[in-house]
Amino acid sequence: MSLTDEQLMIAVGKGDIASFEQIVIRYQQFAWRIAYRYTDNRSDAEEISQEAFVRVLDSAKNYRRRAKFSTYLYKILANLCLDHARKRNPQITDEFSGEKEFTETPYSNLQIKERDQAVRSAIDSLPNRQRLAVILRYYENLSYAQIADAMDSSIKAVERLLARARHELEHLLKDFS
Amino acid sequence: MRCKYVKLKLDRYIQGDLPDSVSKKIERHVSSCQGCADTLSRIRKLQGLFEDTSVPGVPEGFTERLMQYARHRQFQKASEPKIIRVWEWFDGAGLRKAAVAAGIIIGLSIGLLMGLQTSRQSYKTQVVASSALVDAYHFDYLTEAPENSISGVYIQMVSGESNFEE
Repeated sequence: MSLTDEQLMIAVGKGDIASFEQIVIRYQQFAWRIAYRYTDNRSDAEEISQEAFVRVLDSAKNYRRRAKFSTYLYKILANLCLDHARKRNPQITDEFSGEKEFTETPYSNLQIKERDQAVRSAIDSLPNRQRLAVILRYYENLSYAQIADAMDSSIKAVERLLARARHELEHLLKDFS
Repeated sequence: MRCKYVKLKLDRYIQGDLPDSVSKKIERHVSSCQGCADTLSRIRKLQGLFEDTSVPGVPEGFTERLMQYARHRQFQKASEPKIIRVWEWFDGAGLRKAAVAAGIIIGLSIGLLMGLQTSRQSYKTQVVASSALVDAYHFDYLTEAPENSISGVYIQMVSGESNFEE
């Protein structure tokens, strides 16, 4: 029987590096996806997701079972994404025109690519917290309570944040909706 | 239900994130309010735009690089001299331990002080009692009796200062 995330974290806190590897294997895709969608840049996304796991390792000793591990990781990732945005210029360069690999893209339709590009540009133009909330809600399908936890906020605040973000996105994407 | 409240909850309604009772109220409201029905339809359309599948996979060697770094870090930590960090005592469990230790120390100190106080008070009471006894029964003439004489022992016995029971 495989161990739960919380049991693995307790083992990591006792210095078990193999348990840490299990955690990384379970959550690397998830961490990478959020970081990539937020930064829109491979090297930044790798830096953020690696740093998130290093923080998990460093704080494993103090990890308490009160919250689910995934919620704990959302919080670390959310903080790192927001820190990253604060440090960098908010105008993120568009990598889509470069030689990017789309290993999971099943479509070749130009219109769909154009639409995805427009959606991504619209999301990138949102203020940092709105952008993060949109990614967590519409790409990761997190509940409002989970988003509130990750962003150290309340459910009502997240409702208002996402309402403002949708209003802005509707305006920016009116040609596609 | 007011439209302003309903519009804020519509996205959670779509996600199924609301309690059944609230969802039903929203359904009833939307069926009779064109403005909220339009908003619901717009949110659904917008959500359809987020079906972006173009996220590249985790970079090759991600786990290996991370684990190499983690092992290196563990090794460094193990070889570092052990430092006792006082602030670590003040996280959740540390704080509880510190509070229990402080409680025991304070309790023992209070007990010790009270014990000393009581023993001093009982000594004073006994001295007062024996002198009062001497005054009350006019045993003045016996007070100068030699130590361990019958008179001395008698005064000690009557005033309760003797240890005959032992």
